[in-house]
Amino acid sequence: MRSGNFALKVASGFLLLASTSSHAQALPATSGFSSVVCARQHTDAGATEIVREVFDEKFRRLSQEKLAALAASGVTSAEFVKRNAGLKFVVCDSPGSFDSLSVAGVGVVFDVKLVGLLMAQARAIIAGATLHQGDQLRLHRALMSEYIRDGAKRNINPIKQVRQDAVAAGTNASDYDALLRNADFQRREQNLFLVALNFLSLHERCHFALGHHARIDEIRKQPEVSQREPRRQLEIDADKCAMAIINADEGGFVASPIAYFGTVTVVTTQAIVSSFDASPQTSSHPSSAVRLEKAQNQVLLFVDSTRGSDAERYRKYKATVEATGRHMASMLDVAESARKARMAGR
Amino acid sequence: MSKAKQAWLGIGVIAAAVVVLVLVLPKKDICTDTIRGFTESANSSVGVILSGYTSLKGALGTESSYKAPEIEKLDSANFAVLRSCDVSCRILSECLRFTFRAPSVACPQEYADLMDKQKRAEGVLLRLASLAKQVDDAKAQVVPKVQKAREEVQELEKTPGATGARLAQAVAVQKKLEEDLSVRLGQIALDVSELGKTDK
Repeated sequence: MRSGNFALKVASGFLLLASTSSHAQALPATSGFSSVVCARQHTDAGATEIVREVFDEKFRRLSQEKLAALAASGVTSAEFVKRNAGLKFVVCDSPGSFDSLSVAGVGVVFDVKLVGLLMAQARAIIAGATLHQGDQLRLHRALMSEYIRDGAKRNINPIKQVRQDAVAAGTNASDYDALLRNADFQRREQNLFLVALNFLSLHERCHFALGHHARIDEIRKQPEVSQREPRRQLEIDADKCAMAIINADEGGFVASPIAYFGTVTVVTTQAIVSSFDASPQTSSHPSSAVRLEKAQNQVLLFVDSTRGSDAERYRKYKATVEATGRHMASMLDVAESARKARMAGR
Repeated sequence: MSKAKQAWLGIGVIAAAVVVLVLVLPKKDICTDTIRGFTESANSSVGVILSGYTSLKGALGTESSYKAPEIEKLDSANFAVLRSCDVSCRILSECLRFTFRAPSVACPQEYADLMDKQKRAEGVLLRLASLAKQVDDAKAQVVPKVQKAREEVQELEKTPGATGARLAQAVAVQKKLEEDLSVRLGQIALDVSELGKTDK
């Protein structure tokens, strides 16, 4: 998926997120995206290049090499590539927003803050697994807690936050910096980040492929209370579609449950957002818990395919998915408690 | 009949005609213009308030969880102080019919009563004008914002996202604006109601 140059761009992307400089300008009128979906365009070439590699290049390779087989096996439809043809993307800096949007007939908007948070989560998960063997999700928990507590300000620098959390957890700052320079650490961190970004990209592409925009137009004609469940089902379907593609892609290698981590990092962001929502029950999205449960069931089914051929690997992957599921369940509880406390204090 | 008698008869007829005309022909009230000014001013403010309130209610929409209270029937013809001003004006005019002295000297009681009513009417008109401005300002400031927020929500509702953050953010902005608008509408309805009470 990546050349050496691209790996450097990803690394520079991490550095950029740690800087405080702003790279945004008004969206050109020719972009096709409205100012509602993209307040300002994020102009840093590095961030755009990372997203292009995943959204355009990775998808182009997938289309050429895998999608026909995936369509034949029923994972995707034959229409998948056709419906995704010519889609554009833009990286945006929309104040306080952590989202990606699939805009009918145009393409996909990626909020730079969401991309940054995915980067930081990848770092927190890999650094946590390296530095805290007994509590591998410690840094991810610390990062998420910080956002749940203070996300309203939404001006946290997530990359710097992971460093602060690592130092607060007892890691020497110079040891932490040395870890970041470690080639194996960088490979694992970038791999996880790119899977998360790929999940995000495919989730949006699946909305196009599955004809969700037309479905939404139909759903919007129904009474408001009848709209929620069908809307939520669309998100579940897009998650399922994206995971199925990534799993099928991974299946050729090690049948790892990495697609699940892509879902986890995106759903983590949703949980943070929901913790500031006065009425998440009216959201267009299924609850974070439901999305995670569906993703976990799907990935466990996938991992189950290795049970016969490699029992040890199966046990390891299953344990990893289940431990991550428990971690996420407890974090969702924290997010919900914080939400209730905030609403009570209004 | 002598010429002198005829002359005196003519003078008498003319004098009688003058008396009849004085008694029969309507006299211009000394305060007609003022009362008309009050009525026009009240009509203008009431018009602004009613049309503005309708626009604000429309901006809140029928699907909003916030409801606009019904505004009390507002009609300048119903303002007691304006009607009593008109009555006082007529009474004073009647009183001044057979005198050429200053009103405050010729009819001090009626004059003082009219001055009091006019003062009260001016107070009501000031409050009406202030309320009209309040409604007009709200219309100019809030309605476009609420409409823009609603359009943004509608656009984002058509645009599926990964986390739902953007739509949730837009919905929160719309709710906040509708809440603010609802508070303003409540305050305007209350002010109209208060105006009605103090007018009694």
